[in-house]
Amino acid sequence: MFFYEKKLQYPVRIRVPSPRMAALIVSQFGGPDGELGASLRYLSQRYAMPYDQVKGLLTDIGTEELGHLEIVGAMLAQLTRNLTPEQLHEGGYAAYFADHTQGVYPQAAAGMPFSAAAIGVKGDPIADLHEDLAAEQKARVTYENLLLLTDDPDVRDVLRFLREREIVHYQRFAEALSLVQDRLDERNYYAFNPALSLRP
Amino acid sequence: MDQTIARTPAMVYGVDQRLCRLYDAGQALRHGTLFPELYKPVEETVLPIDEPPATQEQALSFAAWELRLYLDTHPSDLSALDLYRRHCEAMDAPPPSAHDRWDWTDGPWPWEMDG
Repeated sequence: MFFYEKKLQYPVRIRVPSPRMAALIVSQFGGPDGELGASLRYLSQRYAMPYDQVKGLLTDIGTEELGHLEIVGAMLAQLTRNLTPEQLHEGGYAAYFADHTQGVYPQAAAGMPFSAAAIGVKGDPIADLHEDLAAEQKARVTYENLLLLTDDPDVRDVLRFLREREIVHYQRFAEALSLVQDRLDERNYYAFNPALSLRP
Repeated sequence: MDQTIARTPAMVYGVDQRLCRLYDAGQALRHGTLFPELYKPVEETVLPIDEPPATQEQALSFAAWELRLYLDTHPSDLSALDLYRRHCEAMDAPPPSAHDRWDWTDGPWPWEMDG
């Protein structure tokens, strides 16, 4: 089950609101490579993962991604507070404001609502871990793109932290893949799917 | 992780990371990792000096979390387990029960039926 600790994993203190940046950073809240998708992907993959250590890793990283979702939500709340009427029209933000006011809604920067279509759960440990490696790389790239889009040091500091977490997760998933490889036959890793549970 | 896996075509392989030098807790939080060998910044990013201030609790909690992820894939690393235990004590958090290995990932998991 899940407990909540009333603190952020990393401090968020954004002194200068920027609806323009919020309209972009929202992609890491509800977009295809964002934290909500990451969390749901890992927590969902646990059930068909045959190896306890990988179930544990998916649980821990899936939980950490929920913490990152919260950090991104905190950024969005701070970026869209105390707005002047002119700021409501800032690049890309006006349409979002029309639908959500200053609420934090899980969508991509381009406006598509959060969708599980962007995540993969294949029910095969090798395929699922490759999905996870790719997911962490895509998230890393998204943070790098966001870093290119802002000079604000308060925003950059948090983006930098979140980006580094993706690299660490990537390494852990690579280690999990080694673990799986260890338990399969290196002459043919694909001889059978160890997650398959069929009645004989 | 304890043995070298034979490599073969039609598969990809990662490189294991082993515990060696660590950042201290405050530095680790700033860097985004406890492990210098996993720190891979984009060239133009600069580490902030100390703002906004993180709490000592956030820093310790982060270092413990990093050790936890490391232990998930290195359950027999006793120095990591010991270090994690010491972080738990510093935070007044319950320490891991076993001393010979990280056993948090052991089954059964809550959704599993017996047998």
